[in-house]
Amino acid sequence: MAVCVAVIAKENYPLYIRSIPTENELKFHYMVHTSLDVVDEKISAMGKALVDQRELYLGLLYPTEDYKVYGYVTNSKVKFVMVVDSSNTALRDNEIRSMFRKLHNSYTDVMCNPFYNPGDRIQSRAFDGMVTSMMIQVC
Amino acid sequence: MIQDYCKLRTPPSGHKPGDREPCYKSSLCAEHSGSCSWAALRRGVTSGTVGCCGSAFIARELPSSAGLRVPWCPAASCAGAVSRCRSILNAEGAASWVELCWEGLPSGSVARQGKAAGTMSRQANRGTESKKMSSELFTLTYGALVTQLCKDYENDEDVNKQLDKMGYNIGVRLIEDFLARSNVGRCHDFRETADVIAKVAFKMYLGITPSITNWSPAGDEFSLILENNPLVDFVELPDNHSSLIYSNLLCGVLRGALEMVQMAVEAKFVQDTLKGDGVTEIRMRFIRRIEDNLPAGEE
Repeated sequence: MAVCVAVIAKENYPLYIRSIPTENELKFHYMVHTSLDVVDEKISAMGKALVDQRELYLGLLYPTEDYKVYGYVTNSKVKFVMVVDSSNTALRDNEIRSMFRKLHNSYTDVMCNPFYNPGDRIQSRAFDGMVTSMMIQVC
Repeated sequence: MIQDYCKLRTPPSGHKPGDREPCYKSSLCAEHSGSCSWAALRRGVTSGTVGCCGSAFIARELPSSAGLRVPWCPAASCAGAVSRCRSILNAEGAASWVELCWEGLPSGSVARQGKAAGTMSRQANRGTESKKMSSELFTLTYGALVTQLCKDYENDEDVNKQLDKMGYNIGVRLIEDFLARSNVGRCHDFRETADVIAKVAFKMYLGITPSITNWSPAGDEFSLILENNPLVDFVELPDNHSSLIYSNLLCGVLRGALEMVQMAVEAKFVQDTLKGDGVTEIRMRFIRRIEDNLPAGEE
């Protein structure tokens, strides 16, 4: 179960960040922020390799004792970061991948909204709904 | 009798099998007899590089032709037998052809006469080819149009009026194209008009078929219910544009088109999925018949 989902723009500022439970938000913000370094490291390590679907998913960025952080970067350098509970060992890699794919699809739908200006914070109800479903789905 | 060339007419005298002459007969074959794909088929070759538009042909059996195998062009833009594939016919400006519909096989194969004369053939081609245009591009274009209008006018009511005006201009031109492509006759009453709008016009231009409900007792008002509106895919109205009627262009189109066929109507949205309703509903009201523009000589 994802406890925090964040969408980071190309310039490394957050477009969307949401976590549950909502008390320790600052901690999650901090974790996402530190994970950006790891993301950048992984992107530069790929170098000039052809970016295909597999390489959009970055995998486990780093584990802490309570949480695991996963990353995904799109071809336009928009990053998705997901923090999941470590105690939930049932979550397999494929599930994380499919969650990221759903995120990516919802993100492209948001981009297609003519009223959304790229670079704004994401305020779409549909996107919120999808993230909520991801956060409470696997318990 | 198997021959080296597939002609279905007698060759000129002096012609010997194997001579490289254009394969005559059929409107189905236009290749040199020696390399004619029909001939190749008869020789037992089931596929080869003899192609109309450069593709390799494959042998297909048409259910309607009882076992006859025709050389088929598998190219995506082609929809017919190799020698007479649509690419060639278009290039030649053919006025009529036999269109062999490949979709839906094995059960749905249809051989029908694609009869068209002059410019109508161009329109018929345009009609079938326009289905392949991306609907996302259309949606995104309309979205860009609306947002630009919002930025220019900054007032939702003005934007709605502009969209209606633009729709009106589109409608007065679109009706000509619609009447040319659909060949519907004159409608005798408003109910027929409603049917034509919902089942022919919307289907032709937007690919959806709205349903008609809520007829008023006098028969001059009805509602068009659209389950999904292709103009509003991906769109979410922000809170500062809550009174914007996003698809108002459609109302203008309906108004303009019907005005050109001597009907003054009013079209407005009463339900909109963007505002939270389940479906999109357009209410059409017949105002009056426009009589002024009959030429004087007819009275």
